[in-house]
Amino acid sequence: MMTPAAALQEALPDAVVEVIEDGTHPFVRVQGEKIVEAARVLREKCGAEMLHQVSGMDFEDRYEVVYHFARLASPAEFFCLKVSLPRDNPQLPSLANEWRAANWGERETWDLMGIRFIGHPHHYRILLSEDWVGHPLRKDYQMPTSYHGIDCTK
Amino acid sequence: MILAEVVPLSAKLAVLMADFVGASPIWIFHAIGSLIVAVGVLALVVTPVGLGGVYLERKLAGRMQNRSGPNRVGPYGLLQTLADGVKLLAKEDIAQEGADLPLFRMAPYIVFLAAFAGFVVLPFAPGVIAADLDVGIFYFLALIGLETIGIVMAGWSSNNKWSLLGSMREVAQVVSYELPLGISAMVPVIAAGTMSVYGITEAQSGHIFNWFLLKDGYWAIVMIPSFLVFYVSSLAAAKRAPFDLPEAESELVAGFHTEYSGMRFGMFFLPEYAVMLSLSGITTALFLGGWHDPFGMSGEGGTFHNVWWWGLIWFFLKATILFLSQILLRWTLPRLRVDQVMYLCYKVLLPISMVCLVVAAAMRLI
Amino acid sequence: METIQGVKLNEGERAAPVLPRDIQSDELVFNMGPQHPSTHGVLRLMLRTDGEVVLEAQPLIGNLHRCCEKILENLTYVQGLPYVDRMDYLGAINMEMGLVLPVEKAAGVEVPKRAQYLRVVMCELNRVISHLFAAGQFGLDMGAFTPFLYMFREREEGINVLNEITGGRLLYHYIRYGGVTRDVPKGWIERCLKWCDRVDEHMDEYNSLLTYNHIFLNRTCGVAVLDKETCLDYGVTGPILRAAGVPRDLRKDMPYSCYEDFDFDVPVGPFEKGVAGDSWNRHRQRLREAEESIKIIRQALKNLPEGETQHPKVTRAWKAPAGEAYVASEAPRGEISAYFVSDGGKFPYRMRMRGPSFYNIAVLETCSRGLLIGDLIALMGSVDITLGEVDR
Repeated sequence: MMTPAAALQEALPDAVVEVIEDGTHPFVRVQGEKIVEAARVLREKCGAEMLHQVSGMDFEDRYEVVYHFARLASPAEFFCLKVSLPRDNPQLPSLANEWRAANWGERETWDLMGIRFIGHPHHYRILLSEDWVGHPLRKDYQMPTSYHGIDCTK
Repeated sequence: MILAEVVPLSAKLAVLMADFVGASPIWIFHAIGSLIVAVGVLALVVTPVGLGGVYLERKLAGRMQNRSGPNRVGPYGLLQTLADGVKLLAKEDIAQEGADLPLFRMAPYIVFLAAFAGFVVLPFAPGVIAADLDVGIFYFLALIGLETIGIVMAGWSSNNKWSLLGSMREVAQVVSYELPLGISAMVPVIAAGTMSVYGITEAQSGHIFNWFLLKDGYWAIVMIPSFLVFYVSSLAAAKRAPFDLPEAESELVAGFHTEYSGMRFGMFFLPEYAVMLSLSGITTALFLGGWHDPFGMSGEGGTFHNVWWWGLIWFFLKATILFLSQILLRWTLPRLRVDQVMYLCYKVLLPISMVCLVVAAAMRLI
Repeated sequence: METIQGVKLNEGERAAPVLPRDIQSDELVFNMGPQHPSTHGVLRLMLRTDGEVVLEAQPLIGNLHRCCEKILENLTYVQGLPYVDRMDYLGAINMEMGLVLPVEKAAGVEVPKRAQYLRVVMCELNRVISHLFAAGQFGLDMGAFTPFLYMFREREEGINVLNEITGGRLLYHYIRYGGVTRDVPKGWIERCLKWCDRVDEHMDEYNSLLTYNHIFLNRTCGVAVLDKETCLDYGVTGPILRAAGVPRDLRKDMPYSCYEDFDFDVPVGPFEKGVAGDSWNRHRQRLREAEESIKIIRQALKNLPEGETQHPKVTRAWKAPAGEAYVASEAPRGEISAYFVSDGGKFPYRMRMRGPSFYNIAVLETCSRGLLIGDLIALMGSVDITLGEVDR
């Protein structure tokens, strides 16, 4: 079983943007278009059996999607893939057809962070109501003052 | 075959009234007499027994579940059911938008009617029977079918898919279980030679081994399975757990009576206990000897022959024991799923009851 | 084959065969609404059924969404702690562990050993009472009213034990960054051990009344099987995964908070009856895990080391230095984790919480096809979700 950095550098060398291997949180940053292939490499070469979490991040200069995969077989560990996305139109291919866990995880990221996942079978909001405007977890989100006539300011 | 010459109470009242007034036609007085008897049965027998049954269930359930049950209203919580009745009367009468109002209103009354009309054929004691019908057991079984109509009306007219589902399940269950219920009820009929419930009870006079359940000879071989089939089918007909699908709380909120509130709900609630009690009563009359005591003192030549209060005590004792067993089963067992209920009926109970019927008929001929 | 959302199903991916449709009848679309006795919270299910057979059950979540993550980004570290309790309110201490462990890893905080042991005791206590609740609730969904109340009898005593030390019955706020809030009161250890004996004593009663009851077995064995591939695909963790036969337990595989010091088994399905991953095995799994948790509590209390209960440098005004970490821990309903990112400021930059039930519920979309409504209830009751951690 190879480490994710080694496996990805071997299989998709031009997709790897950044590799951090020590510290409290080792990760590999890959290009957005190649995320599906990168996830497949992790599954086949590194033994990642489960998609554990999909997170959306909002930084000043970029958006990020952070995927955490879990290997169950010994030694059990978590692998992390990060994808940087431009602020004006954050979108990347969806992992929903590889792992069902991504189905709801990506829906939540779209709902709360506003990152689009191309090819997701059911790209709708999951936690907020269908007619909500805006993506609340963004740092520049303004709370609405009213919702359907209900006052939200207090 | 012993067939007692019993004069129903309504006839006695009719004769009294005709003598008092001194006129005919006598059928008017028979009608009025029946009406008085029916109201009397309702008021004197059914209502206290129904209310007491609810209290008993709640108290017993509480004790089984490591808590006390009702103990605030009245001494030991005895007035709890009365308080509940008052509360239900005081509630707002809500009918849903889109509900089919005539059916919605009529449904509880049909269920109430079917449940309480069953009490007129129960033989409480020698000579104490509201109406000694020649086809008593047949009448009783037909009433259970009538109750189903009321439940379907309730489920359909509520304009609620969950109620509809509950009532459909209920119809499937009760209609299916009427088959083993009826067939296993025929075995005591064959043994006694009459369909009149009074007559069947009369045929069991004597000590405990004259009761049909433990009858000597080869009868016990058919009677015991018939009793068990009848008992299980009566649980299903009364919609008691483990067959309480139609009102399965955790699945359908409250099944067919979800949309009913106030006294309309009370009209479903009270007949449920009344049906349990009348089915217990019929089971004792058919299999457990009715009003006869186990020692033979109420048979011919016994010290308590034709003593009404002695018979009454024993009848209620046996019916109460069956009622208590129904309560115990409800609070212990989980619920069967609808296809398992159907499986039990058609593949287990129905064949057993049919075999018992055939064997009983053969034994009668021999 | 596709569900209404267009999710492609693989060959042979069904819970049970769908009935043949030679009788033409309409489908019923109805709502198992947010208020329902057996949806374990405000879960809304849109059901499309063919009579009693479910064709599709689409969970519509979000009724309990309280924007926990956004709130945590706008409060200091200590202020944000109580919000995580409310995620899985039945296993609240485990949620606090999920919050606190990544922050401690990112900041490099060493928690004193006594505090770690106390955390273990609290987590396992909470796990036992959560599993008792879940098992009783499952019985209630199946129609067995009484075992629920018997389990609540033990749960009530356990809650009293937790109340004595933390001050809360359901929501505790006990674990802090760098340690725990307070030390054990006098005599608490004996009372806790007495409660452990009580639960052990009554476990046979629960099993004979509910778990091995013939009707219960008929209702749950072989029903709503979630096998290993489905679980791994959906990210399902916790007792459901173990009942499907996968020996994954973070307390053993990636030990945290001194769990490697304790000697306990990880029960893995299938057990004596049913098949791996069916509802009965999930139920049995929880009760077996409760037994193992009692063992851990006894060991931890016996070997409780002396020392302080809080790291001296981590005070109320503490803020984590810049960094990030991802740590998962084993909650009663699955694996809770948080992806924590800090920029050195007084608020956390991002605290992305993973609620286990969020991924556990998603199986309802495809695995409910072909089940009867009673089996759907068995599936939901045995999967045992808490809407607080689904919606956060």
